[in-house]
Amino acid sequence: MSDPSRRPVDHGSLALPWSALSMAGVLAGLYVLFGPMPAALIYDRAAISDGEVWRLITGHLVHTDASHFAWNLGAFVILGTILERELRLPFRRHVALLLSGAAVISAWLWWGMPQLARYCGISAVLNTQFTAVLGFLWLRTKSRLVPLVGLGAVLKIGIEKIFGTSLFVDMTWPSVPEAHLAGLAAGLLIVGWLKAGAGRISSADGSAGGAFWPDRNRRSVGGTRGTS
Amino acid sequence: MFKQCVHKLAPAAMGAAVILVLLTGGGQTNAAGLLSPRDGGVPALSIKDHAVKVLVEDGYAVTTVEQVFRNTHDRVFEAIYSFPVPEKAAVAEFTYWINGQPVSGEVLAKKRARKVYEEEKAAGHEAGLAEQDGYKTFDISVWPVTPGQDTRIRLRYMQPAHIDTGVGRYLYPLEDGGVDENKLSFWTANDKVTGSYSFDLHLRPAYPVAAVRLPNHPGAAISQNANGAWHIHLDNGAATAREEGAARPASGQPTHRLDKDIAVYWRQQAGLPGSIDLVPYKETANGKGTFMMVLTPGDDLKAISEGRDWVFVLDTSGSMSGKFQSLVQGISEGLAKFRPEDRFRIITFDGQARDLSGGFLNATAANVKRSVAGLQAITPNNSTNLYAGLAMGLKGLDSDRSSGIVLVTDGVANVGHTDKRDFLNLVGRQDVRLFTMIMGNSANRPLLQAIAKESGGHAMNVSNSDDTVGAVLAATSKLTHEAMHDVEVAINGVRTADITPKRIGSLYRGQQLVLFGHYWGQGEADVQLTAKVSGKPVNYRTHFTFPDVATRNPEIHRLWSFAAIEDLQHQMDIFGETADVKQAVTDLAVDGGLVTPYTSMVVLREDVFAARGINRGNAKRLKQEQQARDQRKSQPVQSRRVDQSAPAFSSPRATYSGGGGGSGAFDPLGALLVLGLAVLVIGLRHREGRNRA
Repeated sequence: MSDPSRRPVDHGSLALPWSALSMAGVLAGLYVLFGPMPAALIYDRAAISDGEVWRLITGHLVHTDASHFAWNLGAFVILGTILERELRLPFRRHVALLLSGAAVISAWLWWGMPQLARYCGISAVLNTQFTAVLGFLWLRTKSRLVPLVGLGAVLKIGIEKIFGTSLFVDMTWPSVPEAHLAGLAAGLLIVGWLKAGAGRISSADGSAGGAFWPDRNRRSVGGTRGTS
Repeated sequence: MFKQCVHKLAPAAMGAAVILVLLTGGGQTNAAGLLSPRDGGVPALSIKDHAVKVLVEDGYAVTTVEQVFRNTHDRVFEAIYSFPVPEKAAVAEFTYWINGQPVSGEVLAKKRARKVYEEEKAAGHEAGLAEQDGYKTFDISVWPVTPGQDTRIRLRYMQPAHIDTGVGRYLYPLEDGGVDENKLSFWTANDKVTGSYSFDLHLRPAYPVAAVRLPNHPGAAISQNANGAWHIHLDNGAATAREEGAARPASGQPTHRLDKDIAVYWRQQAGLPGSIDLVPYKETANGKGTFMMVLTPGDDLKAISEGRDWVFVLDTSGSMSGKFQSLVQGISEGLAKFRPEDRFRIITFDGQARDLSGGFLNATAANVKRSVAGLQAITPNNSTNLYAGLAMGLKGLDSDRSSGIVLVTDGVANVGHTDKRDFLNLVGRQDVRLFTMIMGNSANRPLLQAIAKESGGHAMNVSNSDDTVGAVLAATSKLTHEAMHDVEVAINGVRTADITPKRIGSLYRGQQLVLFGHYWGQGEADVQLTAKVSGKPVNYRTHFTFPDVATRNPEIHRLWSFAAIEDLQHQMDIFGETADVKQAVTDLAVDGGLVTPYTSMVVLREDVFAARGINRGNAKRLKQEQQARDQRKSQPVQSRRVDQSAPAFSSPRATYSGGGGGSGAFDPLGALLVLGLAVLVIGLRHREGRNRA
């Protein structure tokens, strides 16, 4: 990981979230190049069991149609911007967060939902990002609004579960609320792991009384060692 | 049928009391109903009541339609009720109330049945006749409908339940496609029900059903009981009032029209296992048994990753005018799901064929947009040269790419080549799968199904009450995955025979294989399904017991007869109609008690049946079937799965919900949450900033 202290100073300008945008560019590139539901990249249980293990990750990066892609891309840019610009998550940690989320979700799909033959879309990983943002916020602020928003996310998945699928009309693959729930759980696990592993988020980053954004140029979420 | 009706009109006109049916002006021709000549020379009878009861259980549906006709005039009439032929329907019962008592019909060879009916009618005796007019309609004639009296009839037919990719579909067909111009020029149909109308479907599934839906009847009452059975109810208000014991509605009650198909879908729960189900019927230990075996393969066919070629061959003749724009919408959405490396080509045909796309185009957004715009500009018109359209679609295929043709038509081939064997030869010369969407109830289903089967493809029926967009996508989805070809099923260990269909052909992802056959004795059988997938042999195997005696499902015998007749008809499609095969069909239909193009069902007074020496075998069978249905009703739903102990398929069955991550994930509600989170972050930052300050 790069040394945050050596980054250029942010003077409060409207700097673009380059990491989030570049990752969004990858998603857009995949959609433009391979189109909807590319057969070689989706999560396809039969193909994975035949050794095509890349699908465990690439399945999360491709989408069923333009609408699916557009909604997810929009959410990805917003969440990525928050993680990058507001919570100072470094690029490599951001990528690690996404890959870990994808791996946890795929593990759940594989062992927890053997009936699910195919899957695609980054929506479940967005849930990982979502919980990660909430987790970091909670560790730093202990604001009661944070679990409230988390509750909203769980309620949304409940609504999806109850009303989310149509019969025959909507041939686009329906959403899989269980995958979204796995995404939420993955975010919590990763934040917990970072907290336990690095062990310094709360003490170094202020949850024990320090400032939330004391130094926007040097603070990085989940950094190995705080510099405040 | 048209010629027969004209022929019958002459004596009818001669007899003062003998006139054909009726109805008032404004009656539509494109619906089920009572027929009357268009010249308006006879007054109208009316359909007083129309009640439909459907039971879907043990892999097949039994539909019972009870109707009351009323004659408000001062003369005696003959009623002719006509309705579209339901898919794979074996008409097993026609009952006519004579002197207040229900009398069921017996099946005879078609000419003989007509002769008997005419003789009894001429003698002034009560008589009824159910005939099949080719692939188009069932026509029910009843004599006499006396002045001021009600005449009650009941029809019952059965058909295997249709399930594809985890979605079951039942259709009660009422719309006539309006493709039989001769018939339309002469007859008009009264489709109005002046009294009570009701439709009740009871679904007793052995595999759990997650949801039920009627896309074209949003007002249907749908309920599920604690045992997992579903009930769907529709009525016009009068039926409900009657059931509740209320007074009959006043004559001002709005009439119901029999002009809209009822399509019912049910979606099985995701994650159900691939399975083999067996529904046997065997009266005695020493006798011959009949079985229906339903194989639902697991979803282990891989998605195809190479680019594919699609040819859409679309009927733009006049009869498509009401459906064409929804079809274009379906194609537009289907093409939007293609990948740029996929290619498509669009052929349209009416009296002649045209290549709308000018050859194959890559499925880029620009190409799709341009082609859809071209389709939208078409106004359906003219006649139907199906052969020319299909021939053009088959030209220029690239043998190095996997190709599929989606043929969409609602009509009969009435220009150019029209012989079925010409079509079979045309398709047989090419190595391409034909996926046929048969629009409406009056298309030449036997022709379209035969050519789809000959190509190793798949035919699906689409009603105006179906979702056309979904149907197009379902058709194209059959080529997105590998398929099983050269499918064969071997049963060893128990003596079996007369297995139908004789040639299975191909099985696409989500399709079930339904086999009928006979067996003798009992005991454990080894059952093996073999096929080729991408040229490699695959094999699924299990073993289970055929029972010594099984009396729960006597309807299986009729369903076997119907399936065997279908096989013979396919044989006639290919090799031509011979006297031997026609006789074989007639014998099977008489034995099975089924109305076919070669046999009809006649109802006479009991003493006339006896006097004419007509065996009452069908009446006995109907009684047996009714007892079995009553018994089943009092029992819980039974699982018919037989491969639990040695599952034939390791993967769960295919469903539309087999994929995931759908577009609903970050919908407006999700966006609201994300934006809320962004606001929270900004708010907390400002609070933090203030605290630090």
